Amino acid sequence: MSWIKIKEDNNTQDQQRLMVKLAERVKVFKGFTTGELAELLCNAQKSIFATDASIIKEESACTHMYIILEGEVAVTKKVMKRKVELARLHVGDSFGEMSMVDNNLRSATVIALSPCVMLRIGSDLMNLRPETAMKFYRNITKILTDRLRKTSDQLVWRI
Amino acid sequence: MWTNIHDEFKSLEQQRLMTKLAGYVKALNGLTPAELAELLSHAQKCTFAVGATIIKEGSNCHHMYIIIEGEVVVSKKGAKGKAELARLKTADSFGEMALADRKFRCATVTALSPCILIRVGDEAMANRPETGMKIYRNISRVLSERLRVSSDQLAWRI
Repeated sequence: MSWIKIKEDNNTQDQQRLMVKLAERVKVFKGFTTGELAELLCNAQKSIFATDASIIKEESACTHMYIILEGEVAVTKKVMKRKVELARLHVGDSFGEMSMVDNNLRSATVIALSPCVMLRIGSDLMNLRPETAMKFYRNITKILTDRLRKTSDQLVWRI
Repeated sequence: MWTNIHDEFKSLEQQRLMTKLAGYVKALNGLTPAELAELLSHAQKCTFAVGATIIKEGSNCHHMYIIIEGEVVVSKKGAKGKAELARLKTADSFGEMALADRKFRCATVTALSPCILIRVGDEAMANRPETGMKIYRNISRVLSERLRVSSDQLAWRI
């Protein structure tokens, strides 16, 4: 597995097709213009994972966030010696936002359930224009809100 | 009754107090004094008595609240009636979720002591992308922290 820069990877037409697909299907890019997407993709890299490969590992220290371009992943967490599945994510979903924003260790493991094409974005977004950065962080806030609504719903029925 | 902070904020003393307090509020971390002043000029202040409901689960309002003074309890309807999810104190914030996604309130927040709160809506950030970026980044940190706790709790119960 190796990560390659998006900019060097595709020819212009492929790149444009990718952009349209991203803006339509990826929650974290919702409301982005093509220009804003291009800005963000300067920080992005792409990689392929085989089935069963672990993409992030619970308690490791890295701060990228990941976007699924193709494939399906499972999010799991260790409890004593058991592995508990928390969620399955698909094309257009993202994960790893938590460590990206708070710089803490990974709270869960993410494993490829099928061959996956992933995009990753680093936490250093200083080069973004404030308008783009605001949209990006607002989308991340919405994604985390959505997850917290689900988690607290599930939790409250088990307390 | 909510009153605009704008008027109070004109006094230098009040201004200093707010700036000092904001230093402890995670949601306002990293704002410059000018950004903070601008934000607070859109904010409103209110006092709540012990036992008063500040936000109600299922209701449709979208402010975020910051506790200036007092303590609140966050609870949610569950299998065995009302379950307590958290207690929050001075400089903590709540209501960020509905601010972000404009959906219904997912929990009830009740005053445990007399409380002074300020509330902010997202219109305060509409024309200020620098401020908006910082606040949403801060809020996503606050939510991450909460999500880490609640997914830990949940994983143990699955």
